[in-house]
Amino acid sequence: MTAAPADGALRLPICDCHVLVVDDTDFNRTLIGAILEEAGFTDVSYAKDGFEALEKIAQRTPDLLILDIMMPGMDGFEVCRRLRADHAYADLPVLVQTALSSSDDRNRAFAAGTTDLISKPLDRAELLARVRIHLENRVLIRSLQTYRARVEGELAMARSMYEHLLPSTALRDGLERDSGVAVRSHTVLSSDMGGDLWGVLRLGEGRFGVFLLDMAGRGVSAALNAFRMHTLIHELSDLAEDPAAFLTELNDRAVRLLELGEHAAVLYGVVDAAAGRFRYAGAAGTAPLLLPPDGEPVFGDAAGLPVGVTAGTRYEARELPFAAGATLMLYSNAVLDALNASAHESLEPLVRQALDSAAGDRFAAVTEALERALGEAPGDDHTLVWLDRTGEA
Amino acid sequence: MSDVQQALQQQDMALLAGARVMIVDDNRVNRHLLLALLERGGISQVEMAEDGNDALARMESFQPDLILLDLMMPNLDGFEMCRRLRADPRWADLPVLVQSSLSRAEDRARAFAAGATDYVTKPINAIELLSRVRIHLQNRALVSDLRMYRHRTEAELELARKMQERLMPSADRLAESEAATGVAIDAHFAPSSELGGDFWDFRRDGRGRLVIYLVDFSGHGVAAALNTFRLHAIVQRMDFDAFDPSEFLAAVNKRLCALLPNGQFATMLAGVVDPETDRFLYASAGSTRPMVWGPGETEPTLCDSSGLPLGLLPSVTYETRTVDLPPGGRLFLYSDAAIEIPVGPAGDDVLDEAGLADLIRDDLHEPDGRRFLDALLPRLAAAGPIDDDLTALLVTRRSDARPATGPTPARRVAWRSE
Repeated sequence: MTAAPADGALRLPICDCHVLVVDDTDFNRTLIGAILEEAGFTDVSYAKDGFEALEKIAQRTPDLLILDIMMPGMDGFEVCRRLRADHAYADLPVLVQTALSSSDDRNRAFAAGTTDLISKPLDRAELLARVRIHLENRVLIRSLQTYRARVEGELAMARSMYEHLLPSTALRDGLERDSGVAVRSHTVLSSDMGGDLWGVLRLGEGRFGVFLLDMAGRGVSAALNAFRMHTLIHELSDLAEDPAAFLTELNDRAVRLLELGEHAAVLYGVVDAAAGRFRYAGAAGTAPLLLPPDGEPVFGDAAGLPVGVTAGTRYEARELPFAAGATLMLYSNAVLDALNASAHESLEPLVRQALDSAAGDRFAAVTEALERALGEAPGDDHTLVWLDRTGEA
Repeated sequence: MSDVQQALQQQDMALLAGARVMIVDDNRVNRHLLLALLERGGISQVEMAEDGNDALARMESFQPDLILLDLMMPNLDGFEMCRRLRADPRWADLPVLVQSSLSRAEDRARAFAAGATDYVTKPINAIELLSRVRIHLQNRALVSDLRMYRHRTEAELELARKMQERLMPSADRLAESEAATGVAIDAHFAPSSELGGDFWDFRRDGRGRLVIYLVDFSGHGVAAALNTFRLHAIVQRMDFDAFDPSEFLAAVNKRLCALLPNGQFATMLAGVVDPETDRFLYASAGSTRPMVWGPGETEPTLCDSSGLPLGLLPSVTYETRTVDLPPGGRLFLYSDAAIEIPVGPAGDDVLDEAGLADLIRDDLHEPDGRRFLDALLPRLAAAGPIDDDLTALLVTRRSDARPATGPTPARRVAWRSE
């Protein structure tokens, strides 16, 4: 007989797998057990009928079930059906061994949920080959699933830390009370983590600073840099009144931390509702969009070198009027990229159209229009920050 | 039919409709029989090949998800074709379902030995064949989905891992510092997964003294790593002009408290090697206990390291402690993973400081610091499973060194030419 790899050449990881042999005949159990143990399997257990099989599976899920069909009490078909009805055992490979050779019976076995069928009398080499294929597959899937569960867990925890950086509802409510400006945002990350970040710095007398940061790159590495930048921004509150000085200093500090290719587009501005203005500076950020209560949308200007490239870069402050009833929209570069637009002007028709057709909430109308326009395109992370002057400062 | 069943059936149909199957059979009638059968099962993307050579030639362009393979064929038979497929990593786990009129046990064994995934005998039972095809395709879809996830996140985490690695001192910087201060640092840094919550670095203060610190954030993985990047940004902004360990920790703590969410904290040890007094001055925020020994000493001294971890309370103050560190003396710092290795018959005990001291005792005066660490790591691994980020730092005051103000050019050149 040709030597199959099953002849003693089992690869290591599957030898520890737990195999449950279910057969009502003592002789068959002994035979299958002997074949498996001779091949190096160390964890084989046995059940005499369907009931005992289900009991043992409930106690400890095997990696493979070798199941006889014709058994008194509960037959193999029923064992199979009951296992498949339980989500926990949906993936459990079931190798049915049967003396039944009619097509109908074989079809019944597959309909009941069997994974594989082997005919009696059992051939040792074939049994071992099939056992090996199912177990190797099981071990592969389990290792991939374990990896996925671990990484998903890690990323979920990191994601909650990221969300913790964003302004809370309580903070935004307080801000609205003090400044008469409602701040809302819409963020879509292309992966579990990303390099987009926004936040507010509270200043005195109803004023506050708002920043929108768009770190180069994506995923975990962009998030690591976004956390660094957040730490720097957090420690710059002394300069928060002066957008140009704020960005200039942020850049000098960022240059010392970031490596080549790691840079950020940043927009930072001070919202002063009482004075009716938004004073801001930009570092390769997008142009803020002002939507006056009546009249045409106005784009600001946020040109400038990205933060983190060259020490000593100076940034200039600019100003937009921010009258009662007006709205300011800040958005990350990726919004334009995803719209396939190089210039901010292309955003205007989308916003204008959304606002024209909006009966109620203008923020919802714009974010919906944006989501529609971006479609299913995976794209980069994108963020929209929406500031409404709702009341008197 | 329940909603779940219905959803599953829809998923199944989509899977079959998207599947690409190659039929390899030298008999035209058989090929068309199988084709009709597959089409009846909802599989429409089918390629047909007349023998093994023909099939191999079509693999690259067709990219099948499954092969239905006859065994007895002219030119290149099914056995040999299967072997060749398996030798190519691209097709190593492609499902190969053999359908053959050979029904002897030896033929089956030969087919499985050649790498077949499954084997059915002609005449073909249509329902059985389709059931098996579906099972293999489902399985392949599951594996490929999981693989894709792994592939994508591995690449992403690898980028992040390299970033974290670059936070730690480079060999270049370490060599320069050793030349300048006469203090050598040998380090081992191993996160328990791709990224971790350990971080260490060194500086020279305004007086040219070597400042070293080791941080261990709660948790591990990506979340803990985010915190190490925050800490790195904080320390970057600190004043190292006149370094004072207790003031340093108090300042770092205050700044971390403003950033860390509830429940996250860090332990930290920060100290300075003072060559004038031959001492190591340090402060600890709940770090592990440093071990120190002088030349000729046969037992490491366990130093006091009590202190509240960072990030819990902004107003905490820390104490500066001192320990003798003469020329030839050594200081050993480590993250808690090194003393929390489960040991004992039931694994319910931990290695602890005494156990760690036992592991290094024989090597206290090993001249090569790298070898000190290289000898320790397998001993730690033998003690029990290490399931947290592990950092170990051996700081050696060279007895032959005269403190200098900077690296001598000669040494720099020598180091480069090594």
